[in-house]
This record gives sequence, C-alpha cells and structure tokens, in this order.
Amino acid sequence: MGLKGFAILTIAIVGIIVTFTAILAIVVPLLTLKYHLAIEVKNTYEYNNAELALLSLVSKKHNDESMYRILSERGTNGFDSSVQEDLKGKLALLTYSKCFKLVSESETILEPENCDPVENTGGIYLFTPYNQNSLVEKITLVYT
Amino acid sequence: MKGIVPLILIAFAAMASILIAEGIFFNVFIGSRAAKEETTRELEILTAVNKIEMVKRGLPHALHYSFLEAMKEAGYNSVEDIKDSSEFVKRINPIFNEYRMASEENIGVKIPGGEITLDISGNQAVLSFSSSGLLAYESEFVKVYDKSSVTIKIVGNSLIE
Repeated sequence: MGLKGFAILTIAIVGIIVTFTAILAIVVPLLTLKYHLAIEVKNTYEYNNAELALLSLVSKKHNDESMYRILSERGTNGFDSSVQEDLKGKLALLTYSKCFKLVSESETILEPENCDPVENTGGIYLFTPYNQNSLVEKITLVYT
Repeated sequence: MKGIVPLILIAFAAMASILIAEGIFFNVFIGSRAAKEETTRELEILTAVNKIEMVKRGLPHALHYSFLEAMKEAGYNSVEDIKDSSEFVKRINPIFNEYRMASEENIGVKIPGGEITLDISGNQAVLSFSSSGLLAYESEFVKVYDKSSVTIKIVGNSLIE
C-alpha cells in the first residue's frame, strides 16, 4: 500500500469514528432526555391519581359523618377500628388496590397490610380544628 | 489530483452524516421540548384544579372550626348562648382570617376577603361567608378560579352537611 492509499484509509477510519461519535453524542443525551421526561410525567400522573383518590375519599361519609371531618379531627374525636376498616374499604375501591398506606406529616394513619406500597404517592391538605400552631395538615396516600 | 477525490467524498459523507444526525436531533429535541411543555402545563392544570377543589371542600370546615373557636373564646357552650350574633361574628372574623392565610401559605390557594354573617334560630345557626372575590390558584402557566362563598348550617355545635 502506497503512502497515498494509507492516507485515504486513515482519513476514512477517522471519518467513520468522528461520524459514529457524533451520532452517539447526539442519541445518548436524547434518549436520556426522553427517559427523564417519561419518568417525570409518570410521577406527576401518579401523584395526581393519588390526589384525586384522596379528594374523593374526603367527600364520602361514614355513618352520616364526613370523612373529611373524621380525618381532620382524628386526634380529638377518636379514630376507632370501625372507621379504619371503612376507610380501608373506601380506599381499596378508590385506588383499585389492597396495598396502600395513609400518612400525615407526624404519624401513620393507616398501615399497609403485608406489603410495601411505593408507586402512587399524592397528598391533600385538610383544614384542622383551630390550633394556633397549625391550621392545615397534609395527608399523603401511597399505593401500589 | 486523482487521489483527492476520495478524500472529498469521505469529507462529504462525514458532513452529510453529521447534518442528518443534527437534523434528527433538533427535530426530536424541539418535539420533545414542545411535548414536555404541553404535558407540564396539562399536569399543572390538574394540580391547580385539585388544589382549588381541596380548599373548596375544606372551606365549610374552616368556617365551622372558626365558629367553634369563637364559641370557646367567648365561653359559650351552645348556639343558644349567643345573644348578639353581630358581636359574635366579630370574634369569628379574625379566626377565619387565620385559615385564609394558612390556605395561601400552605396550599397556594387565595381565599379572598369577605363578609361573615350569622343567623341564629333556637339551637340552629346558619353561618355564611360571602365575597365578590374568587378562590384563586395562580402559577406561571395556570390561573384557576372558583367561587368562594359558602353557607353552613350548625345544629347544636355540629356542622350539618
């Protein structure tokens, strides 16, 4: 192979490497961007689902008492096992799942049963009975 | 002269490949950005509507809790103890304002200022909050409004829903 032939081969190889690198440099960030977009949309979608389930829950009643009131006053008016069972039943319907937990910023309101809910997370704010330090409370629903 | 032709061809091939790749990149990138912006706005609309909805559902309770706290501060045990409803409303107002501020600070939903009225008949009370303003949630992309007026009925000390 002459010097000229060697130069052409070298340039061809360099050209291929440059092109391949350029394509990779473009495709990889693009795929990453799309992946992150998909994850972000999925998380927000799931958050909205859980939020909607909670909004429906607080509109429901337990023995003529609103679930809103039962949840916001659970510290003062009791939160017995019959309420908890009813709450579980309603959440099972609303989330179409049996694996969920309900938590506030300071405590677990409903424990999951032999499972670890992780997927859908969303919270709503409730007005609570008057207390100078806190007038609203966030409750969060997590379900799988 | 003859040897430079393949060089030019290779250079053109490389340039064409890069241009095609860049074309694909910008096309998809701009498409992704547009899709992301559209999706972000749609999701933000959902979030805004949910926030307005949670305040709307909570407003009767905030009004009731303001009423109960005013009763406690006045040392009343039941609705029948209230002799002058207009004086009693003056006790409810600042407490309800605290709930209004808490809504704005924690939830991001503004409850406008308004007027509270109280009608008492026996052991029943009808408590209203009326305002010409609207509940408002505003963010960079979304503005959602809803009516803010609410009326509740209290029998004994309980909220009747």
